[in-house]
Amino acid sequence: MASLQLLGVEKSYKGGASIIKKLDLFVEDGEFVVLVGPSGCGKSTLLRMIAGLEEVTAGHILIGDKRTEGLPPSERGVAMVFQSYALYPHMTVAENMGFSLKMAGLPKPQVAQAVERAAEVLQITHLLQRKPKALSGGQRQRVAIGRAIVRQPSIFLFDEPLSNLDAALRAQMRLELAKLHKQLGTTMVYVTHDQTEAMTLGDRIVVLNGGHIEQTGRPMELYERPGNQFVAGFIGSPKMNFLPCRVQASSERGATVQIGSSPRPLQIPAPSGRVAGEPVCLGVRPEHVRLTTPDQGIPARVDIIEEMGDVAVAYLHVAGLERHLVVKTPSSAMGFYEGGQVGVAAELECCHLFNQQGVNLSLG
Amino acid sequence: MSAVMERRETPAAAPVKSRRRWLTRKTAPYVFISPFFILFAVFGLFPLLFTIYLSFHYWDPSTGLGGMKWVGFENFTFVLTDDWFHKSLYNTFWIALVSGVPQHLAAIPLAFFLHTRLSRWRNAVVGLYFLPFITSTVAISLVFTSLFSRDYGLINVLLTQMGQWEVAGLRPLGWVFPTENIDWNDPGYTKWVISFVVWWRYVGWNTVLYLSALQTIPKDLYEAASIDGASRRQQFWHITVPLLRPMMFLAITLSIIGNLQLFEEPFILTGGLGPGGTSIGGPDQAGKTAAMHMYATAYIESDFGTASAVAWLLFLIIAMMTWANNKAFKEKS
Repeated sequence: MASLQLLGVEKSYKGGASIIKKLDLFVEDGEFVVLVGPSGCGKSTLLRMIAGLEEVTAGHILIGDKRTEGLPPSERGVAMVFQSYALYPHMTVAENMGFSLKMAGLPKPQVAQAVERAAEVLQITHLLQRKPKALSGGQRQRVAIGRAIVRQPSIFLFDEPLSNLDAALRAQMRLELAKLHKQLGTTMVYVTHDQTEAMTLGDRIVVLNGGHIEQTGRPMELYERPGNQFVAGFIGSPKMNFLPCRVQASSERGATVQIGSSPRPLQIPAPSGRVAGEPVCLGVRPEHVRLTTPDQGIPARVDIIEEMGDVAVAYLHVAGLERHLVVKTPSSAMGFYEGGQVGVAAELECCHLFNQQGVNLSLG
Repeated sequence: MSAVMERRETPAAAPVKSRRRWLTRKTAPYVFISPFFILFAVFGLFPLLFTIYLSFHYWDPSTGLGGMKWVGFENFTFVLTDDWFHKSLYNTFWIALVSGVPQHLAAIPLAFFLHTRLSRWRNAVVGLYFLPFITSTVAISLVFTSLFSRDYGLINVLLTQMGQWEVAGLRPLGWVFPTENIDWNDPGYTKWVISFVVWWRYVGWNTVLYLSALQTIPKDLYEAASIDGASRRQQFWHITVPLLRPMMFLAITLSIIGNLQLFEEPFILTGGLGPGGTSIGGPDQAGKTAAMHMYATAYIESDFGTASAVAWLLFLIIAMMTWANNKAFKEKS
């Protein structure tokens, strides 16, 4: 086990494309950190730099107390699970798992013992003599993880390991990964674009955007107190509603804003000092919006309802707003129909105000 | 107006009707596909079956079809006991091995080098290696004939210059390199020269085959192997070589088929039909391959029956070797 430090790490390619921009991050020993962000934000590149598969343009990466400049991937004490699993197709599961130990020159009985131990942890002992082509997606994933475990690394690196699995298997593997982290207690860095994986697996989430960190924090911290509009929009499903509006008045109790052409202004908790007429953006999560009768709240029309079983998602048209207002509500509480008129009320203490630079004003 | 239209419709309708008599919806596909089958039947299937028929006959084509004489298995027994056939078969296997094995031994590392080290110039370099394969055999053979010329050939000039290089009155390289011109037409050298030309010609082709196979190996596997601690050499042996097996099987099969039918290169390099047009394969017939022996039997000795027997025996040998190759690769995979 080891901690991980990224100090002013940068990555750019010939021709000037800058992928990672002066990034600092500290991952504690035994911590499960999830790097999350949209496609092209540099999260996989960052992981590959930690693994030693990509060169660092500037800055330093420390694994434990060891600087990694010039260290080949195999000497960094990391193991990586690839998105494609990267299992050697011509080798059996046992050979795949024992390959690193074989390369290290360990005697065969010792390799077999280590493979057996890892297989028991992952419950794949019965698959050891099979070739990867004879395995299901979930089994391949387990073998890929097993190959990483056998190396007894200081840090596990996961590059979107569940993205090739179906929804049910993904949920199951998510659970198993969480159990594995508890069991091994090893530092894990996990890359995903799936915010459900990020929320459920990570001790801490690092939200990346355009090669820099937007925010780091515990999953619920990012959900409840997003630092900016990007993080607020990225964490949560369906994503947060952003309603452009203007400040009508500001006091110690918060800022009063008007939504669309609604005659009923809302008072959002925010530090005083906002200027009347200041353009802001109101952020409210779909699960923090309630549907009422048209005579209460902001009047709206139900355009589309998506039934999910336990919950329903309604897309509402509010006069004066360009985009739909999304509402997530328990199916049993829906009671409305497409084309019907409703009233919309928000849990004001859960709303956020963002300024034009996207900074969350509600945090003070 | 309607009369004009009627007049125009009548002649147009007539050919449609007559066409429909034989080109129906059912027959049209067969008609359209028939050119291939007709050509294959005339130029592929008929000669194939005819050589089987011929191999059981004695036939000199100058006597016409009526001159055919049934001889049963006599042609086969004659070929199998014929010293010249044995010699040509020995030459064929010798050249096949000496040119074929190094082809693959050179092509695999070369393809790996091109794949891993070159990116910008890869296609240009591959093109250069591939060039001999698409160049006329006659041109290649003529160039090499002049290169290997005893008195004026560049090879002899280079070798003898090395051999005659003097330092303090001594020739330090004289024991490795020749000091006198070598007669490459000497029977002892013929097969070496042919093998070298064949190797040079096909190494690029095999490189392209292996390069295409290398490009299908996912990059992830090499990255996983490097994290697992495999050096570049270990990656080559533990990842590249095993994953190239299917292409090795194909490339070796093509080499077996090609090398056992070798004709053009040895034929031209050994001077074609020779002085008087009656001999083939150079002095002592050292460069005579089985395919050349078949040609000589048919077109110099006018014995098409025996030539057909040689052709079918050669086919059987190629089929057996391909089967053995298949077996060798299948067992391990």
